[in-house]
Amino acid sequence: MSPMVIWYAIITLAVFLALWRVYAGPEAASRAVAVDVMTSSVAGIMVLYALDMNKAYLLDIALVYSILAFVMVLALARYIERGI
Amino acid sequence: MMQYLAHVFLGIGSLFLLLGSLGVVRMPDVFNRLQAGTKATTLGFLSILVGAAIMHPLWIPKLLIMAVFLVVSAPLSSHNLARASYRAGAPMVLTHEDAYSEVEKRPKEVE
Repeated sequence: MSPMVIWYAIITLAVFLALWRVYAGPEAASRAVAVDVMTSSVAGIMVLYALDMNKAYLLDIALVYSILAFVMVLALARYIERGI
Repeated sequence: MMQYLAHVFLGIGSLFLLLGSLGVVRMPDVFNRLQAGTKATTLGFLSILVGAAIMHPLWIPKLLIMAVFLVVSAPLSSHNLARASYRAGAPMVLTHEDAYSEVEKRPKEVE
């Protein structure tokens, strides 16, 4: 068993832990923080997958996902502050 | 040998991501959760990128672009979330002194 499986398992556990905070955050900003942590962890999983498959173009998916996650958190912050 | 070192960095990165989400679960306040989530996940993701760079040195330009983007974007997003939740009136636990209230009037706290 390669060590990659252990890193996959650890980051998956991190994603599900943050998912609990999405359910149980009393404020909207707590849910936004938890979603930000989830997207960063999933981007880490994407980089690990690119290492596994040994293909360089799979890194582009992680980059585009990080950019979209950043824009999403900015939009969430704007909504929390002043509505749509 | 280089594979062993790369796996060490990947392990450190994934452990920091786990610690970051653990901090988001256990912290009592929005602002504390922001600190735990942003700092730990930035470090974990950067460490994963370093491990990938050790494993495949040919990929270093792409990983460098991702690292620079992460270092630029993570403080921006956490700053915006913190300011938005301050203005929306999120309750502050464990804060003795509010230094930002000298700059901006703190709105009424919700619940």
